[in-house]
Amino acid sequence: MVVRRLGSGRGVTRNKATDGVTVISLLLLLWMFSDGGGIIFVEGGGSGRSNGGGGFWIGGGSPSNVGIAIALTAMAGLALAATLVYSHRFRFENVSYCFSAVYLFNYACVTSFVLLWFLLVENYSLVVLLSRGGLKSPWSRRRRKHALLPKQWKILFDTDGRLLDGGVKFLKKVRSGGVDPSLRAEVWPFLLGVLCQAGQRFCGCVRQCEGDGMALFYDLGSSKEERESIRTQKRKEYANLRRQCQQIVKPTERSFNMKGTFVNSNEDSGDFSQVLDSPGVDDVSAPLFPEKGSPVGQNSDNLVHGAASQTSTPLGERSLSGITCGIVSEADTDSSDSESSEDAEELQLFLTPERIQGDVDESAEDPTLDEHIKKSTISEAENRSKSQMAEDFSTWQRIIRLDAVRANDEWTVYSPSQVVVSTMKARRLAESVGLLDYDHLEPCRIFHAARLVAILEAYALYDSEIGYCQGMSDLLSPIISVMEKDHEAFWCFVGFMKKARHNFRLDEVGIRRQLNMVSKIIKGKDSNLYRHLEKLQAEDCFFVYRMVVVLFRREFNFEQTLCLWEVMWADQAAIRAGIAKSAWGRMRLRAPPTDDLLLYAVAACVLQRRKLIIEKYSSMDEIFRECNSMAGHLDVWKLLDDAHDLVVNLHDKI
Amino acid sequence: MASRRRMLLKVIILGDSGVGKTSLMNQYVNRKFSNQYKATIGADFLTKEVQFEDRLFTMQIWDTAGQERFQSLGVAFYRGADCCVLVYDVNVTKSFENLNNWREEFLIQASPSDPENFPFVVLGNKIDIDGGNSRVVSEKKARAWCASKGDIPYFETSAKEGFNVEVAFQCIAKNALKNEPEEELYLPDTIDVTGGGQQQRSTGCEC
Repeated sequence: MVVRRLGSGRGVTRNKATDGVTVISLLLLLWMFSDGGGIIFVEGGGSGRSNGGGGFWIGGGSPSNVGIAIALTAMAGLALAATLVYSHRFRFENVSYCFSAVYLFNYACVTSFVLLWFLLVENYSLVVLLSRGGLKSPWSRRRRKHALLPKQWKILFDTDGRLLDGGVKFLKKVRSGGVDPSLRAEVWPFLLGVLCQAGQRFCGCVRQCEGDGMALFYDLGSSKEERESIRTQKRKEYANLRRQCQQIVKPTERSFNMKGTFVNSNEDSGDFSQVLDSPGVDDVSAPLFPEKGSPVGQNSDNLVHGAASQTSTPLGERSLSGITCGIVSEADTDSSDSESSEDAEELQLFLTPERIQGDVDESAEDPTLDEHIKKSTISEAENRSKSQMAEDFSTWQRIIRLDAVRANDEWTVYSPSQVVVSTMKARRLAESVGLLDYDHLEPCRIFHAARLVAILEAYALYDSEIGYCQGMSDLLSPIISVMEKDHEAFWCFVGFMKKARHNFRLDEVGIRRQLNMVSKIIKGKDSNLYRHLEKLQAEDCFFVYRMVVVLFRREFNFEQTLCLWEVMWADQAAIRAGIAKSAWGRMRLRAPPTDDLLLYAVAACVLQRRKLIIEKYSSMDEIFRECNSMAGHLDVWKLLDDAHDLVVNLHDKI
Repeated sequence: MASRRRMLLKVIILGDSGVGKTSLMNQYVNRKFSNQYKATIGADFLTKEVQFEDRLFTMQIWDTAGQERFQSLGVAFYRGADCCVLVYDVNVTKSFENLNNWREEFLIQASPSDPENFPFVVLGNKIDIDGGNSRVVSEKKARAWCASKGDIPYFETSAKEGFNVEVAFQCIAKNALKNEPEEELYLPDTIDVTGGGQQQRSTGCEC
């Protein structure tokens, strides 16, 4: 009976009232007769509910005593069957009769069940075993397990501060339950692969690791000492990015263009030569990236060329003005050169071509995307001469400031330490980043907004292909709330954006691929719904656009969003670390890790409303409205359950 | 027959980020103002029942993202628009300069049958700020531009104070209606929300 309650979770008590009576009485019994087990049980249910799910799995113990467990499982199976028959029989009769009958039965079984319970929670492999056995196991449906707790986190490391077993256990834990709020600041850099960005740019790292056949395993396998040195380095890199931001646009709001600054620095100083020699750059052909290539190719003609090709587009006017700014800013050369020898190393960061290349390499995991992107790399460059030039750094800065002051205060409840910032400190920071129009905000929100500005600007410089796009502040705000130091928040954001940045690409390849994938998942799962969408000309799934772009940030509250993101990051980290292939068979979840968990969740979200959509909605507008009004109506763990189910069923087909 | 049917008027609001598109829409539909609206991602819409010359209409107002990064993705909701509202912030020159781009882009993306006569309405928003002292685009300049583009109706508004918003949207509705008869000829069924809904419901069940 315990097992039955475990597996079916809240659904039983909610949906099947008659069943519920029996179950509740048995729960009481269990509680009376087995202190230890009962208490754990009650705790599990409680915390599960508070988290919007009915999580009962406890602890991700090491696989042990499998033999005993299997034997016991067999026994439990018999007992379970008997109990089910028993309770079913008496369901409609006198409750007390039912109570006493099952009472006797259970009394006999309680001891073995409690034992089994402990073994079960220690041995998720059993679950896999059962669920693979063709039986529709009652606990194949996952509810939220407990989040990774501090005491569990501590014992995941060896004496050098290295994650045991390369982080497999760690990722398993996070995949199924997220991370305890108190641990987030410590754990996220691991999840987001911040530590793998050590010393090198993405691409170098990716290549090197792939060459070793261990694909970024280093990330999770780093020692405490290594992480310290990486952290120091990363802090310097961030400080340099910030310095660059301040150099590009002086407080007087001169509209200098970052590209212009590049050209200047490049033309006037030889420091960039060392950039050219750095690994990973030489195989990138600068001409592919006309305007970005200029610092590498030392050819400012590219800019002029780019400008000329601009005029025919509808955006020509603006683009042109952007470029003009760039050229005008040559006057600013001195200031940007003053620190260039010191900064030269850091300036490698700005050389997006190879970073882009790195991302292309990375996305090679997805064969379709791979092709697509490789083809698009060239057209992307062409496209960019049309659209990207339309947005220059000063445009980004303006929009960043706009978005920063309208970030909401939802996070304040979760980060009390950041709420107590003094007015003075907040205003000083706001001033230093040139934030305006914040008078209506409380100090903590001014401070938050100013941090958003600082980090987003730095990111726009760091990844100038993407720059800033609305929606990015939605992604950064929760990170800032968790990571109190700007440089840490920045690098976590960079890690997050490694995947998410594709959604913001100007050539639309990324977002189209995502929407297309959601469409495919829906088609694969529910052809009726898909046909209905086709009929309404909505099969492009544009209606989930916002969910995809800000990763459910507008649908879920702060805590729910972070849970979803953590689970998603753990999947991505597992793939980066190469755990995906080797160890997923032993994972509790039947679903293998996927880079696209979010898209499965989006599709699941639409599928949850299939009936409504098919029966009631007769236009794309209505579906759009529905999807844009889901805030507060979603259960993150239910959604993840459904998403994982979709992954199980469809991942090899899509 | 016509009086019984409720027509759908589709209005698209375009303009740079932060000029107040969401605020204008919410002020008109819900008579509410907040300076806490988050950036619109993609698009969103609200509907409002409007009465005009004894006929009831449903005005569907589409609020769009100000950062026009994904131009071709916008096509989906530009389609079938009856009127396009161009908004700028009277305190930000660039937002005014960009009106031309927004207009041209709309005409390209929505490709209305008669682009020359497609109804636009221009709103100069945020006239309340700093008592008008921080204003950089004069009314005269704005009107001149509107005149040069085929006499586009122009209104100065404050979404914050609700100033001129109602009047502006009445004009928008009127102009959208002008566009309507033509649309009706082409797509009579999709315009009629009530009829369309019922019709779909029955087909929906067959699925």
